[in-house]
Amino acid sequence: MIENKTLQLIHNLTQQLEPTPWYKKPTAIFSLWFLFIIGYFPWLLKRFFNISILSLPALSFYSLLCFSLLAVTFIFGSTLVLCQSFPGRNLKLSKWMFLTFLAAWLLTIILCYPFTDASAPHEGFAYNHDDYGCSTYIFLIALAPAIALLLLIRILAPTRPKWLAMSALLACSAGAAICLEFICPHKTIIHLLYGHFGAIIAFGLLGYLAGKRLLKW
Amino acid sequence: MADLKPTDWLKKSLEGDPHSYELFLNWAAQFIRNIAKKRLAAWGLNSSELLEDFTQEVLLAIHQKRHTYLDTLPVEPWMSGIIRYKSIDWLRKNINENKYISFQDSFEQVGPEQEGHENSSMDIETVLGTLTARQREALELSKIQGLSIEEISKQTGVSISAVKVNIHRAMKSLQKRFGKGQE
Repeated sequence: MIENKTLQLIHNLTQQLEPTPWYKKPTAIFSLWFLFIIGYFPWLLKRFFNISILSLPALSFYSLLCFSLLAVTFIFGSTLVLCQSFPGRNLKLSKWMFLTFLAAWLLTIILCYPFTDASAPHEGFAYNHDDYGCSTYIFLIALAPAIALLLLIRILAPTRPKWLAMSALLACSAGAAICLEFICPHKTIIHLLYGHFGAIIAFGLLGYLAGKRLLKW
Repeated sequence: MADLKPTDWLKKSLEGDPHSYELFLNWAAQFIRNIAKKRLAAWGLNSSELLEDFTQEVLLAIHQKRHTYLDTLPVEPWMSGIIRYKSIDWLRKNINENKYISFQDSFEQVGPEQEGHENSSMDIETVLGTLTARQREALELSKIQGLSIEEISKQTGVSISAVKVNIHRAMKSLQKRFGKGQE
């Protein structure tokens, strides 16, 4: 009698079977994400900060190093999050790897500080603001990619919602911090720790706390 | 069709073949039952009704998320991932709804002490000391003093469902801490 209900369910599910729509296919999910980030950040810099991706302001070695580490965190982190949203994928080692790039950025901030000219803001950075200004920028810039990434993860089947939401938001806020390398004139250690790194961690923690609700299926 | 494997059935299903899908779901139902039987038994939930309820829940999840199957990989790890996720969800939901908590069954899982167990000389105070205050109180009143759930509820001012949950969690905690050798 009980097993009959299961058989009935199987029959009903078979009747409902349809070919997978294009936007649910893994290749489409990855393509949508990469198209989004390729379009979003250049558009944002041009639209709000009048910085063209084709003529970016020159970066110091220190900024360039930070830029590279953040870029790797963002691209590697977001890709990994999407890969982990397929049940049965067990990427134990690489699961934490993108966090090592974030840690490397933290080390860069701390260790390279004595070698930078912290007192003199670089020329060409017109947007003056305090520590909270940068945090707000990171939050606002990361919001759209974070929503997009979480929506894509929801289409898939995230089986570790807290970890995935945290990683997604860490990756997206690292992406936002890349823009700050072009926008923010302050390079003091305190400002970078509070205004940039702190904001990224806070955003990640927010993801961890809300992950279960955000990615429930 | 008979010589095809579940992986092939699922691949064909994703292209829209209903016959392959039916074969796959029948196989999947059996696969889920095999795994769920052990999991439910570990939680002290031994009934065929619960087993089928859980199987149906996972079948629905598989149907909803079938597009996440990558055809280059075997199907079993993919299904196991979904089963693990859904089992936690299912258990939490049923605890919240106070449906299927059989604390008597879970008490039996702790079982008698085994010979040579490193904690065999441990007294009851030490064992109960590992629990939270509420779990300890509920366990003492039910298993040592022999009160009924209703009586414990009245005495402690905690709802009946919360008493059941406390006892169940206490049992699970004790089993996890002291009952590893019995698995």
